[in-house]
Parts: sequence; C-alpha cells; structure tokens
Amino acid sequence: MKSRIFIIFYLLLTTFTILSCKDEVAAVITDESVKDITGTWKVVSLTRNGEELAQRIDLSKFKITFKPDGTYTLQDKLAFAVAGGGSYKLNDPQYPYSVVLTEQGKTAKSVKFQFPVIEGKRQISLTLSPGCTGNTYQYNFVKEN
Amino acid sequence: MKKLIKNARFLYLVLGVAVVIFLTQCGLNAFTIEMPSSGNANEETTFILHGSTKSQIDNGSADPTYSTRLLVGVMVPRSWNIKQNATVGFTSGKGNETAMTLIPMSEIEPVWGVNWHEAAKKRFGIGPNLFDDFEWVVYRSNNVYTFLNGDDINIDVKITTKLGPENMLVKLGFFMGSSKENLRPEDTDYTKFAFSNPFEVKNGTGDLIDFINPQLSKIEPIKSLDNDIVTFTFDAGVTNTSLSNTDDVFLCAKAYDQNNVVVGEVCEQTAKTKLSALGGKRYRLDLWPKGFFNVDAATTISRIEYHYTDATGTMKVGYGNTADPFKFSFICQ
Repeated sequence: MKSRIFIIFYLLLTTFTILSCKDEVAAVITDESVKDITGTWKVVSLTRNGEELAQRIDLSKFKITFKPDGTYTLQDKLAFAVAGGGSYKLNDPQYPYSVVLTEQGKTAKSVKFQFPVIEGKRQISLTLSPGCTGNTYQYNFVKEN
Repeated sequence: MKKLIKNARFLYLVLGVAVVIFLTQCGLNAFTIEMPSSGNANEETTFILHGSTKSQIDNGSADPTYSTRLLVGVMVPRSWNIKQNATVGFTSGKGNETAMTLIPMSEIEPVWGVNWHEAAKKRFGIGPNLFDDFEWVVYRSNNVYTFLNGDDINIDVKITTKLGPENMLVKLGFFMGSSKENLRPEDTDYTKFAFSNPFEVKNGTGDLIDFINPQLSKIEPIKSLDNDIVTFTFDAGVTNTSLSNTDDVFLCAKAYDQNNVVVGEVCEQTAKTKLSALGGKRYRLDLWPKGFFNVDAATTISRIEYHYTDATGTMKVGYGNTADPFKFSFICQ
C-alpha cells in the first residue's frame, strides 16, 4: 500500500514537472521583440536586377527617416517606391516581411522588408520596382549615427 | 586486422575510380538545333533539338539502370512571354510526350538554391548575346524513363512558341539535361547546352533591337521607365568616331512626354553628364531619368533622344555615327 502511494506521488510529480517545463519553453519561443525601425537610415548598397550600383551612382544624399509617430520623410530623391514623405506601417510588429509606405495624397505601396544583421550592424533591406515590374531594386540601409 | 583495413581502403579507391569512369561514359551527346533564320512577330515558330543518349552502364553493378526525367531549357527574350506562349514536347526511342511540364516557379533547384529558371540563367548565362533581357525557362518530362546499358536513343525536342511583338536580332539558348543530376555546374556529361545562330524577328514594332552585334550606344535595362535607373554605354571601339581620341565623353539628351513635347534637356559638359571610362574605349553613365531631367512626379518621360559629345560640346556622335540622335523609348512590354 505504501509503495503504491509513492508510485502515484512520483507519477504526479513527473507529470507536473513536464507540464511546467512545456509552458516555460513555449513562453520563450513566442517572446520575439517588436521591430523598432525609427531613426534615419542611409543607403549602403543598391542593386538593380542583382547588379550592384552603389559605386556608380551618388547615393550619399538619399536618406529615409522613420519617426516614432508613424510618419517618414525622405531626403533627396531617387528611383524609389515613393517620391515624398507620408506614413509607414510594418505589416507585423514582430515578424514583418513588408512595410506599407503611404505618401501624402497617394495610394499605399507595399514594399518587401527584411531586417538582417550584416557585419554586426542592423540593416533595413527594401525590395521594390519603381519602374517596370521586371526591374527589381534592393536598397540596403544602415542607421545613421 | 590492419591488412583488412588496408584492403578495404584499396577496394573503395578502385570502386570510386570505377564509378567515375562509369559516370563519364554516360549521359547525353551534343545536340543540333533545327530552326529558321527568322520569324514574324506575334506568330508561332518551331525550334527542334536533335539529341541522343549514350548509355554505358555496368551490368555487373547492384542496380544496372539509370532512371530520370528529361529536362529541356529555352532562353528567349523576356518580351516573348514564353511561359504562357510555348509548348515543348519530344519524341524518343523511350516514348513521346506532346507537352512537357513547365517547372513551377516555387520549386527550388537543389544545387543553386533558387528556382529552376533562375538556376538555368546562373548556369548558362546569356551566351553570345551582348546585353541581357532574357529569361531561361525549364521544362521537365511528365514520365520517368529508365535506361539500361546500350540504350542509345535519339531524342527530338520540339519547341513551339509565339514570338514577341518587337523586331529583334538574337541568339537563342537551349539545353537538354537529366533531372537526376539537377544543374550541377561541373556536369558536362548529362547536360548539354548550345546557343543558336542569329534569329531575327521581323514585321514587328519598333526599331530593330540587336542583341548580338556590338552597338555604338545602348541603354539598359532595355525595358525600363523614367522611374528606373538606366545605364548608358558608349562603345567607341565599335567604329572610328569623332570621339575616338578622347576619354572625356559626355551625354547630351532631350526628354519628351507622351505628347512629343520636350519636358527636359541636359546638354552640359559637367560631372553630371560625364561617362566613366570602363577600359577598351567603353564608357558608362548611370542615371535616374526623372532626377536627371529634373521633372516633377506628375510628368512622364516617354522617350529620349541623345548624343555623346566631347568636353567642348562641339564634337557630337549620334545614331550610326551620324548627326542623327540615338533614340530610346521608355516601355515595359
């Protein structure tokens, strides 16, 4: 009788232990940070259909600033998804794969978004086709200090 | 025990060499291309590849067979829209298919890590064509075919496609391969590729787009709008021009809207218009037309006319090395 009680006790203890561990693991996995892209970003790389153009065209003045209030501004102009400032929104705050840019008075444009860390620095990578849809441009930005 | 290990190593070495010899003796023979020298725009044309296999399989091996699907790739200008307009079939000693399957864009080629069509472009390039507005498309047989030693068969692949709308001179690309081998870059036995003789699309729209003869000037991407970044290339090595003796080459251009009204003109000899020397008497300038001509967002540049000049602006080179301007229309199709 005594041994049966011990067996039941240990079974219950094991069950509770496993269940409690499961919750911990699940909680860690879903704890993805919200992506913060606020700040001013400058271009470090630009490709057209896979061909690097950064050394061939002056990109030094083109910058995009994402503000905490959900608006963005552009410095200088270039072949880009939008020509002027407006509002922005990531499609998902934790797992974004696109950013919607809505230029003032214009329709919203969805741009493919990636947020990689390259050589220790966080980058924003935007893929878009401002001209013919067959021509794809990838802008890579780093945050300006 | 040591002797046993040594013998086993020797056995593996012999087996490895045997496998390599076996592999190099199997595969496809080079194919020939049967095709007309020209076709009418927007009409169908047929291209036939005459290929064959060489099957030398060791009957003593555990599995003396080779089973695979046939791969066929075609490289044509993107404006032909071949994915929607082509039928690819074949007849062979192993069976016939009237319509091979276009490999879905979502399927990744295992060696290159991109879809099969992009992988083919990385593997075979654009051949003797001088600038790129091409796509490779890859088809796969619906059935698996099994080969035994000595199964040397002929394969005739028939590709029927509607040509694009534009006049052009081009060399087309083709490959035949084995699905079992994927598109391994080092494989020369199971994959054969070739580029055609010049093929001309006639009775279409626009001036002739010549992909194969060196051009005095070209603009890339050839399909672009005023909101793309375009690259002007001047090749002074093509012929002797009034700019042959200078490395200071400048762009002089006019922009027109859809009503044929001039909406911008830049004809100055400054850093903004100076082409960079690439070597070999070739020069290049990348620009964003809307910014270069300083037009507002509401204005659409439909076409441009341009010359190249020297530093003084007095020496000008135009289309065909004449005083006429080069012309370029901003279109996507």
